[in-house]
Amino acid sequence: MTFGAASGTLKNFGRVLALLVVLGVAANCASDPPPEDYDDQEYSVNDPLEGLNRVTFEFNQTVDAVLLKPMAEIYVGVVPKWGRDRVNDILNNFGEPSNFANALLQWEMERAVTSMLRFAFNSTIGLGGFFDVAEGIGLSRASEDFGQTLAVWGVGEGPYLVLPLLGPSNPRDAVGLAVDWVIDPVSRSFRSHEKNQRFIARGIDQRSRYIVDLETLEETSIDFYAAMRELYRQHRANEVRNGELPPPLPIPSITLEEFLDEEFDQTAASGEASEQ
Amino acid sequence: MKAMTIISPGRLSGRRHFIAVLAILLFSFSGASVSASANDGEASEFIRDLGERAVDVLRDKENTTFAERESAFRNILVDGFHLRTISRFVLGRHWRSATKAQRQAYNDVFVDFIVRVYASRFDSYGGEQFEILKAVNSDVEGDTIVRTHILRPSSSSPIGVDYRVRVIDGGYKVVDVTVEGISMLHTHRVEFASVINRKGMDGFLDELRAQVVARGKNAVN
Repeated sequence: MTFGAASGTLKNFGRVLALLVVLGVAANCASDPPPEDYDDQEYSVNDPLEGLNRVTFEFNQTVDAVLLKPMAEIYVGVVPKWGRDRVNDILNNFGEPSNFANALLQWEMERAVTSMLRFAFNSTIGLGGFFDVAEGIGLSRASEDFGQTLAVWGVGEGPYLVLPLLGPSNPRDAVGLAVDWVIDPVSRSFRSHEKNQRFIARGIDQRSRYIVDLETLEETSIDFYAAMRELYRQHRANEVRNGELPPPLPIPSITLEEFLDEEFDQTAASGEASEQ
Repeated sequence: MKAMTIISPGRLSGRRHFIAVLAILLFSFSGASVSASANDGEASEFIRDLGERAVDVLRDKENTTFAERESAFRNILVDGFHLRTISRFVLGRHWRSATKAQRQAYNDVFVDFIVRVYASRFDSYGGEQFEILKAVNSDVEGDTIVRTHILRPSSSSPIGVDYRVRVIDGGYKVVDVTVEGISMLHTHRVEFASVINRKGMDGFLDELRAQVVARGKNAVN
C-alpha cells in the first residue's frame, strides 16, 4: 500500500496514531478482570476520561439536536423510502473495497470474497451500486474496518473516548477511522469535496435510520451516556466477532429461598453495611 | 466508478449463465444453513411460542390501546422471563450493600420499570417477522442460547436476537436477551451502576420511579 498522495498530512497524523496505538496497547494490558469477580466487573468500565467524555457527549447531543437530527428528519420527510434505500446501497457499495481490504488484513477469506463479489455484482448488474443485487443472492454485507482489523491483531479497545462530532469511540477505533480514511481506495479516487460530500451523506443516511430507535433509547434510559457507552462497546465487540456468539456471562439463578436468605443475611449484617 | 461497466447485450448470455451457476451455488449454501436449524429443541419451541405471543400483541395495534398492549407485554415478560434472577443480576454488587428497605423498594419498582421501558421500545415495531435460526448449548449453567432473526419491513437486513434460556423450577425461563450481540442485562447493569455511583442508591431508586411515571404518562398519549 502506498501513502504517496497523503504523505503531507500523514506526518502529524502519524504522531497522533502512534500515541493512540500506544494508549490502546497499554490499556489492553490492564483490562479484563477474572470472571469470578463478575459482580465487581461493572467497575472495570474503562472510562478514565468520563468527565471530559460526558462534556463532549453533551456537545455532540446538542449538535445532533440542532443539526444532524433535523437534517435526517427532513431527508426522511422529503425522500421516499425507495430513494433512501438507493442512497444507502450506493454508499454501502463505496464501502466494499474497504471491507474487502480489511477482511484480507484479518485473513477472513470468506468475507473478503463476499465483499469482492458484492462490489463486482452491485457495481455492474446493480448499476453502479444503485441496487444491492448481491443481497438477493445471499451475499450479505460483511462490514469490516481498520478498528476491527486492529482488534483481530490483538490491540485492545483501550479507554472509552467520545470524539467531537464522530461520537463514541476508543483509541483503537479512532486509529481505525483515521487509517480507513487515508487508505480507503474509494476515498483516494475522490476529490476532496467529493470526500466531504460522501462523509456528510453517510452521516445523514446513518442518522436517518436511527431516528426512532435513538429517541426511544434516550427517553427510556436513566443514564443515556452510560447506556450509549455500553452499547458502543458491545456493538464493536460483536462486529469484531463477526456476530458469532460471545462467551456467556455468568448469570447465577436466584431461587426464592436464596433471595429471601440474602435478605435475612442483610438484616443481620445491616449494622456492618451502614458503617461503610 | 471505473469498476462499473455496462454489459453489452452480446456478452450477456455467457455472463448470465455464469451468474446463474453462482447463484445456485450460493442458494445451496444458504439452504444448508437452514437445514441445520431443523434440530430445534424444546428451548426453541419455548421461544417460538413467546415470540408468537409478542407478534400477536403488535398485530392488532389499531384495535388496542397502549395500556392493553403493555399489560399483554407484562404477562409475556412475567411468564417467560426469570425476573428475580434478572433483577438481582442487574443490580450487581450494589445488591450486597443495599439496605433491606432499599432492596424492597428496588423489587417493587424493577418489574414496572422493565415492563414500561421495553413496552415503549417494543411498541414502535410493527409488521415484524421472526425466525428461529438454531439453538446452541452453552457450558454455563446448562443454558441454551436460541438464536433468532427479526425481519423488519423497514430494512433489508435482519436483526439478530439471541435468547438465553434456562430451566428453572422445571420450566424454561429467559435470563438474558442479546440484540445484535448487545446483552440487555449487561447494558442495564452498567447503566444502573453508573447512576448508583453518581447519585447513590436512593437517588437511583428515584430515577427508576421517575422513569416509570414518565413512561406511564407516555402511555396515555
